[in-house]
Amino acid sequence: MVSHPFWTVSGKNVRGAAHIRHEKPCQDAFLPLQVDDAVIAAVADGHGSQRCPFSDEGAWMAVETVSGLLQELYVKAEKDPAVIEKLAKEKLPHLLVGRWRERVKAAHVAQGRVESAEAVDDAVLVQYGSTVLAVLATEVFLLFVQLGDGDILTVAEDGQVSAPLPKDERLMANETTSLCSPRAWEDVVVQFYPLTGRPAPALVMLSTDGYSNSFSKQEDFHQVGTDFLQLIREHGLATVMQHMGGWLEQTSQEGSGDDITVSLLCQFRLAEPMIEEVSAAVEMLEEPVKKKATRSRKKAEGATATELEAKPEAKPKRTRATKPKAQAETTAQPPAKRTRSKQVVNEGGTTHE
Amino acid sequence: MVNLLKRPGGELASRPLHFIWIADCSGSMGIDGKMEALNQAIREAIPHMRDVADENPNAQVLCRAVKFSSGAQWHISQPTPIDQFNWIDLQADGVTDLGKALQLVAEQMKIPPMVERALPPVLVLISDGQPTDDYAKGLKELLDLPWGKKAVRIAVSIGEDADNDVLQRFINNPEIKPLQANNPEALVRHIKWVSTAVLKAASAPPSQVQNSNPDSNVAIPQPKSDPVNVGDVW
Repeated sequence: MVSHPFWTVSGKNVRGAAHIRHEKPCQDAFLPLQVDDAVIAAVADGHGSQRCPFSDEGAWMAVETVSGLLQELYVKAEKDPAVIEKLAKEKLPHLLVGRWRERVKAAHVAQGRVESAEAVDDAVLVQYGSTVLAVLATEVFLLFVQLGDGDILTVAEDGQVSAPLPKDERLMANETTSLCSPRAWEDVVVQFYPLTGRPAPALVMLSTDGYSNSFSKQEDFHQVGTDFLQLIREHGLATVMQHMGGWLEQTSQEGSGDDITVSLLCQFRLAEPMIEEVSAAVEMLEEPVKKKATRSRKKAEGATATELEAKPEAKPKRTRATKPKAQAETTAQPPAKRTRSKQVVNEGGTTHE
Repeated sequence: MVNLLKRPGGELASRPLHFIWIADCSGSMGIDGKMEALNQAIREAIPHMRDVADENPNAQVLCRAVKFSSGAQWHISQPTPIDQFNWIDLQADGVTDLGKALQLVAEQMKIPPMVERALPPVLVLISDGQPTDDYAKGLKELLDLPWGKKAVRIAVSIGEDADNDVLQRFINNPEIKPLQANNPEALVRHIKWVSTAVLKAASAPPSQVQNSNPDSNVAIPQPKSDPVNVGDVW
């Protein structure tokens, strides 16, 4: 989990019930990232068909690529919302698709799946096909990015659930637009959502389609937003995240059978009471003479935890794509906040099946 | 950790998979035992369909049937869970109004009654003759609908008088050919294949890149070739 004074981002993915039955890996990916005073969450869903044998890797490259780009955008635009909106709409779709393709081709060569780099053409992209959804969140705006199926929902303070992105009627019958489509940049939806002049949502949820496909009706799916907000208010984010794995597994078993990934961006003030509580308990247990050493160790553990949580299970024969540079900056926050967020990471952070 | 808190969200449900038999009941189906053979083949296929459904609890297989002869009507109108589905024998009489049958099916491919989260429906057309009405109109209505177009469409051609061009247009996918049944054994085999291999493929389709294969969004396995044999009677 990555924490920030305004937003806290957390997430979880589970291997689908049908994937378990058919001994297929989880082909979803989730990556949280903090960039200074902004947070980024990205989820992706590898296609998993026979034509896409490396789509789990493609999904990871998708979340890493979009997170890296959003970080770059935020830094280069010097946090100026107007510049960010302009650059995102003009440049992001092409950059996202282009960089993902470069990574895929490089990984394909690095894995020895072709004899030479010259032998890699666009046809190989399908083998790594994936969707991607992401949000860059600050106190003054949200920037949504989506390519392919999956859902982005906002939940207002009163529990009202909305879908900020327009519905793509083409996405049905298990068909989706994809990073590997010939003109994929044309299908990338970028939506700038200013928070000035209107209240910020209490919660933002990103999820892969295995989640929404598990519910009888859209209202039943949207109910998750209202329920998550209430659960966080009543029990705290850490407790909700502790339960998340069990809920998602049950949802996949009784619903779609597909992998499910859920990422929650929660206003920090909603999650904070629990975080403060856990943090205070840890502080009390620490011996004064060992405090400095403990902090150093925790700093190292916290960074490792964030990185490990963002990675899929080890695959000896497949090389993980290079992590975005921004990952190292995830811990670049005031020491007090860093300590608090680490406790939540250890309690109920991101894990991968 | 024990889940003590209520799971977020409303009612969970497996994804519906509509399986529709579209059966020719024209008078010619009453010749040489074709109708009896079809009734028997579908009846025998039902346990196999139940087995496939049991293997995939995340798909809810819902079966029904349309019959066409002089006009068309729902033979079994309610989408029936496969574990409750029982075949009612068809009777042969009249002409071959395929277009009207396709119009009936098209009505059911609209949203609603279809839902967006459904799995691709399976439509199985079985015919032994030439359409006697404007089948192209009914077919267009079906293929103009998103779910009609995305449906897995399979055709079984009974005997030498069946119009395979029409059946191929219904399939609308050059990679899939009509299944030729010239004797009862072949008919049973084809119906079983549709009821198992096709149903299985449609009930757990992985995501596909949009328009990567405009002809089909479900990978249908190839049936075994069925050579002409001396037992052919139709």
